[in-house]
Amino acid sequence: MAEPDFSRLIAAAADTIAAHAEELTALDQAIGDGDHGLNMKRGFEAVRAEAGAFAEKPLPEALKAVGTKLVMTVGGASGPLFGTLFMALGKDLPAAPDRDRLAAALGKAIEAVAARGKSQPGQKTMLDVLQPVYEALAQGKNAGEIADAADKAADATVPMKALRGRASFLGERSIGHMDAGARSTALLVRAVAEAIEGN
Amino acid sequence: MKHFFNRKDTIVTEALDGFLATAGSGALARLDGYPEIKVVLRADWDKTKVAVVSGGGAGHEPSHAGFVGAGMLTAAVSGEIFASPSVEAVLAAIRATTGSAGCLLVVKNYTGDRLNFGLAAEKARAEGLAVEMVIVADDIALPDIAQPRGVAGTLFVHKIAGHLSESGHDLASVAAAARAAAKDIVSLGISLSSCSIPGQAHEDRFGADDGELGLGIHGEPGVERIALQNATALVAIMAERLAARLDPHSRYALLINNLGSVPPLEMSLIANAVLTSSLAKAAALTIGPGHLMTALNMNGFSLSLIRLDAGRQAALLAPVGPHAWPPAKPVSAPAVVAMAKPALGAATKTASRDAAAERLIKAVCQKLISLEEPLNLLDAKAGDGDTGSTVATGARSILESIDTLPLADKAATAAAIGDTLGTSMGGSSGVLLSIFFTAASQSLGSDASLSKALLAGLDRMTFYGGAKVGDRTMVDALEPALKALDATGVEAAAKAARQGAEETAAMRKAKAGRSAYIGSQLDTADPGAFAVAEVFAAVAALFAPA
Repeated sequence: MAEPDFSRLIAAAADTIAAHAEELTALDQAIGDGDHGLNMKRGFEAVRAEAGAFAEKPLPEALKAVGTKLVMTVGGASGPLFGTLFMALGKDLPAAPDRDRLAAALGKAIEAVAARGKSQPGQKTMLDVLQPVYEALAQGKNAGEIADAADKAADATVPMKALRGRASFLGERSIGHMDAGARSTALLVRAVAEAIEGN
Repeated sequence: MKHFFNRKDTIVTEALDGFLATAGSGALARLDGYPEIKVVLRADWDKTKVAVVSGGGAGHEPSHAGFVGAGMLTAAVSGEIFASPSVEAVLAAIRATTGSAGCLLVVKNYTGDRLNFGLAAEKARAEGLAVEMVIVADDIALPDIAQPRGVAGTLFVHKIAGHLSESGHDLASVAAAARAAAKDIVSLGISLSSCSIPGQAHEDRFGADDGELGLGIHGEPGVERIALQNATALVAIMAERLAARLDPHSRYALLINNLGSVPPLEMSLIANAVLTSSLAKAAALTIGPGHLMTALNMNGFSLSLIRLDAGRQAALLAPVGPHAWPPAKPVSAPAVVAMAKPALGAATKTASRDAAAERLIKAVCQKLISLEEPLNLLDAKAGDGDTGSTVATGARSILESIDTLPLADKAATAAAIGDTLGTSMGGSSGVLLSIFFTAASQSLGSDASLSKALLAGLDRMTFYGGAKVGDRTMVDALEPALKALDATGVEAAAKAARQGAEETAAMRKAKAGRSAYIGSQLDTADPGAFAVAEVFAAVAALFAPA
């Protein structure tokens, strides 16, 4: 797997979030409180503003710095949850990871997010995308296949009943809508996959 | 939905600055951390007592900054609209307010709030500060949910923890009392609309006849859609669900919270419905109705109850600095005071006869009744077309009561006519004529002549009614007529009235009365002035030599 410039990955992630902010907000309005698009955009723009400094660090340190930024300054639930994902990824990743080390680190990071949010896959959250992405990665799928798996997993949250987050307050009425966090996770996976692929 | 705002990204800071600028100097301040850090704190805080810190997303005003002050919160941390504040913002509030007595964080049960306040608490502990956290999860919308959300019942915890801190309790006992209180709170919300965020596209998911039961404070949909029905029925549904969660042997404090845009009139009606519902026997104290924990402009309300013991009751009743907190009041039945009897006076005079007075009154009344249609038509050109009917109604009521009038006593007769017109004629003209005759009666009682007494009546009528000559009202005919009556006689009065009435046709704009809302040239006489002219003509004919 080729290694792209870290600041390009940040730009790809921030770009896709900015481009889809309205869609994410609309998804969140249907079954949550409608702040997800704005929160994610605020968070990734904050990361983009320091992309240059982050990119100078070794990969694990850079990921930890991105995560810390998201955890500490963004607010909302997505700040700490996405921040935890990046911090945990950085913690378990060597400076030049291979696929197996990346998959292992992602597995650990998913556990950290699950612990932070007291959640697990199947509860209509971002974990429902992260888990299939981890499996696709571990099975040796290519970047495009991993991104497709992420999209499919986000779609699969539509019929789920939310058991965590603000959508859980709707009970049965949360069924029939895509989870906004799952969608933003799939967007990030595709953006990073395409940036790596195109490198 | 239209909103008052400037820019989406400065809504919260501009609102906090407006709040601080109008809070009076000295009591409150903010941390210097805009726009990321939005913390309002007590300016008089010396860290010798337990800091009570709360907060969350914005959009819940007056929560949380409105409850910062002596006896409640030490500091409030605000995020963006409906988004939890960041770890850094919470941490800044803890550092600013926490001394050796420590800090209690009061957190509503949302993932974002739990995570950001929780991480901030961890970091503050790592810095050596004593920090405890209580999570409030008072919403009963979904009975079997793992993590019920925190809503308006959180204010009970603010009040109790704030009171205990103010009275010098240590962190362990403040935290223990807050945790115990949080377990004894139930809340339920209902709404007839969702809320709209300034600058964000909004589509109301509610149909014209829909409400939602069991919704939170962020515009998230309610657990169930509910058919619009009368307030008592809606309150009964809520009362039944809340009552099922109460201990039948305990007394409760009831907090009635406006979620945003319910008019005060309707909130009072809701309070009445709640206090006559199945919850009434449980409620010993009320707080509100008022805006306490809102969801922007949501047209809904929530009910929260906390089980009382002596300590909680004392804490809830204790006076506090923040004026957003409405004092808790013991529930009491509405006091009703008997109406005073009218003083003995002209109204009680017994009927008496006077042929001349009877002839005059009958002539005037019959004239006015005959004018009903023409006056309505005149009025329809500038007003609402009811002058003729109103005047005829008054005249008929006088005719009907003529046998009971004390006609031999002019003052008493004028007073009785005033009473009759005031109650039977209706409209502003009924009230004005009632004033006219009542004031004339007063003058007649002090031996003024009839014409002087009528002028005195006119004086009072124009004082209360506000119309002057030239304003296109009946005064344009009545004033010259009464002056001529006083100076010369009834024939001159009739002429003056006619001239005055005709002049109103040329007047461009009515300045008083319903015609005042029409700004254009009318070319027709004012119906009131026209009626006065007709009455004086009829009276002059009555007195004319045969």
